[in-house]
Amino acid sequence: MADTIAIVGAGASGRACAEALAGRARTVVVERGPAPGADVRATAIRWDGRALLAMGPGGPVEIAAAALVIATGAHPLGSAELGLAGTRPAGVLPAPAACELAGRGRFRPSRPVVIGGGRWAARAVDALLATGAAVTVVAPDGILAPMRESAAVTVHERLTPVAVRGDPGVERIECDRAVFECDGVVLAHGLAPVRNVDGAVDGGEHTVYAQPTADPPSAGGSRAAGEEAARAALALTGGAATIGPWSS
Amino acid sequence: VAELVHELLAAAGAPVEDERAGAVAALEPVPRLFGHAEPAALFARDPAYGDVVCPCEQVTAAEVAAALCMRLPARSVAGLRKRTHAAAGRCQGATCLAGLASRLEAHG
Repeated sequence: MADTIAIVGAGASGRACAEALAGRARTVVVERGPAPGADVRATAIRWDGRALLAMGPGGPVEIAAAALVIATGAHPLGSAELGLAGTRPAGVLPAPAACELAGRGRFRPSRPVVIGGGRWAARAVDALLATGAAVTVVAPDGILAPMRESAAVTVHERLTPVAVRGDPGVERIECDRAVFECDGVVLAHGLAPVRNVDGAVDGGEHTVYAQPTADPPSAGGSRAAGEEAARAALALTGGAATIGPWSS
Repeated sequence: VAELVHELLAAAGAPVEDERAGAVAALEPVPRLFGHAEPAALFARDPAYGDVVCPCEQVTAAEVAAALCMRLPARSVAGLRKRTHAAAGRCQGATCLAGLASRLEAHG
């Protein structure tokens, strides 16, 4: 049995990684949300190549580990990552926050623009339609995930958003070939890996990443990423020779 | 610039006494969890440090509560962001913005 491998995230990739390592290494799965399959319920905050520090309701927890697997999923691109120019008006929200707040009645634009055509865009459209909004979808890469069809939804594919304007609230979004008046913008285009463990943000010591960014995400892709990370992490602990062919 | 800001705040009705004599004392020290050498000491001082609200910038409920209660308290998500760095990290609030909004609301 190889040394301990710490896994951050109990989503599909993290669980697949832990399952692939079962019997080959000790694993500790750290998860901050209510997802099942977590060994430690805390937020992983720091990694120094030998130990992972997590902070949770019971205080700080230190987990000595020979390797770290980051399986914290992905988030839609922010305005800087999208290259959006302009001021920073209110009413421009990342899709996860927009969906949550729209569901609670705290984000109620009447004519919002959703940027993106993947899974988060489809969720945002659903959440906004439920509030009675007339939604414009700007999908730079086209429609990638099944999206609700409705008279209240207008889709523009292959347009690239360039700037967001308004003060104090958002008033319009400028694309390369069109301008849309709006009172809310939801950022749902693209996916970037969530990286927030200090010391493992961009290539840490003895760190591997299991964070597929395909949009829409697939269960198979998450499982494959988790299993590949299990293999790489085991190699880092010196247990490489024990790896046989994976059952999947 | 500081004097101009002071005048503007006073004109807006903010509680700004002249504290030049003890200006340093006017800054309420709220240590950040991010990079802190002794996280256990922070947690012992306030268990709210165990509740990491914004995982990118590692901002805890203790820091958010302080920003909501300081002498010039945050009254918006933008104000919380400015005071604590919450929602200003790599994911730009995708993870924590909704939670920040509800904390703001709960505070009233």
